[in-house]
Amino acid sequence: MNAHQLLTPEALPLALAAAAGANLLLIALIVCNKIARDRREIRAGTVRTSVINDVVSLLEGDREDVVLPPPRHHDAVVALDAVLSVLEAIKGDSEAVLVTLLEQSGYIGTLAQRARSRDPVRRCASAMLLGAARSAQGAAVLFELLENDPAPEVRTIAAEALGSIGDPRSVPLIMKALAHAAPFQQLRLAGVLVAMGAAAAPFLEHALREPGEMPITLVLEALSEIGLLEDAQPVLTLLRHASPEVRGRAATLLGAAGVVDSVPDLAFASRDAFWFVRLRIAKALGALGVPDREPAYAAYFAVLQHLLLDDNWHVRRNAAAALAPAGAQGEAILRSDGSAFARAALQQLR
Amino acid sequence: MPEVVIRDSEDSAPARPFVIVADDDPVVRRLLEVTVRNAGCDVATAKNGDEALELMAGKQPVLAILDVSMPFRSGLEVARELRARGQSVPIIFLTSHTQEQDVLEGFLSGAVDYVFKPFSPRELQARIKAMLLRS
Repeated sequence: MNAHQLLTPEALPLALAAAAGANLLLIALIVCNKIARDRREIRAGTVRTSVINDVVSLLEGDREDVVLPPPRHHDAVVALDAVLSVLEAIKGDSEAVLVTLLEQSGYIGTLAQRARSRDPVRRCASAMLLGAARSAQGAAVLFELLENDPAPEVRTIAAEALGSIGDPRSVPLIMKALAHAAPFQQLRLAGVLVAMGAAAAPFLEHALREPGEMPITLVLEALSEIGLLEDAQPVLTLLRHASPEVRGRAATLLGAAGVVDSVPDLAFASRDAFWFVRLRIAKALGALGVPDREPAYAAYFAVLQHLLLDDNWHVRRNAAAALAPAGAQGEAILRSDGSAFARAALQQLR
Repeated sequence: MPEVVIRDSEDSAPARPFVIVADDDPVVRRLLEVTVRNAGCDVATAKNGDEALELMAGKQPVLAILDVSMPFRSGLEVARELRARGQSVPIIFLTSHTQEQDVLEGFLSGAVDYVFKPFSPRELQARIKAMLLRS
């Protein structure tokens, strides 16, 4: 039947009726789909509220145990999300209770199986959930993924998951993964090390003494964020590194870690040709504060007074900011300088 | 640790201390409510800073536990508003931020303690009881 036959006066009512019927069917499908979706959302909300109430009662001691839906049940995703939302907010004994609940209900085992899927997206999702669950059983799977998974994104997520669990054994593996990661993944992994704080600091310091493939600037930045440094000597040596980026970050680390005895070295390094290195030195001196012993004390005021005359205004501003809280001597230097930054720094003191 | 009670008079039943809790996350709010009740206190909850201030205008609490980051009015702004009104309610701030500057700002705004998320309910309970005993 062609178009001309359809448009005859006899065939037209039939064609219109067919079109109306198709429209009604489509509308019915849309309405049924919406009703089904709304029911699923209501059910998910009910399950979520019920699980959260049960879990909180368990933590309160009002219940002996909680029965979660089986891991492959259609309510399992919502139930797991509910437990993880409570776990996200707590730590200590209560955390251990919930982790045990997830392990005994089979959720960790199921996630561990899914972490071995052929699909990297599923492996990523499982790794994220295992990290959120903070289970030691799950950590074993995450170690495997971090060491052996062929997909860099899966390894990055496994590292982040281990970082959130806080297992210090993961630090060497994270640093190894970092060495072979793309730049944006390196930043994420460096963030994981920073979040691990004191656990990661010794490994990062070791990387300063025996540089491997991990970029030295990332090591310095991570240690600066953590703010811990046991042995300052390698960092003092880096103040003379060929790269100005490294020299600047070394200065930042010395300031962040409170290495007051580095002031004479910072004073010497302040003759650097690059303004952003001198800026980091001025900021580091501000972070260190006035030393309470010589020769650092004399060097401190001498170098800041010199940096007040720097040809770069960022450096001058930060030198003034470092002198402002430095007591009577700092104030005297600012008054004798008389520049706009010095006056602004004195104004802030009042 | 002894349970904290406040007696209005020798003949009346001991009044439980009244605590206000404010957090925009419903799960955290529920956990805080349970924790405060387990510490032997009556509790009212608020979803944001404005609701918290409304509750405090009605009945003076012995303690307020405030999330630092909340919609409409943050915990820090609530603390400043209370100081401006002359209400000296001890405040425990709850936050996931560990930046030193945020902590300093909190103490300057009148906090007596800081609890970082994720928090231990048992530890928070002990802090509440200790604070109520001191006051």
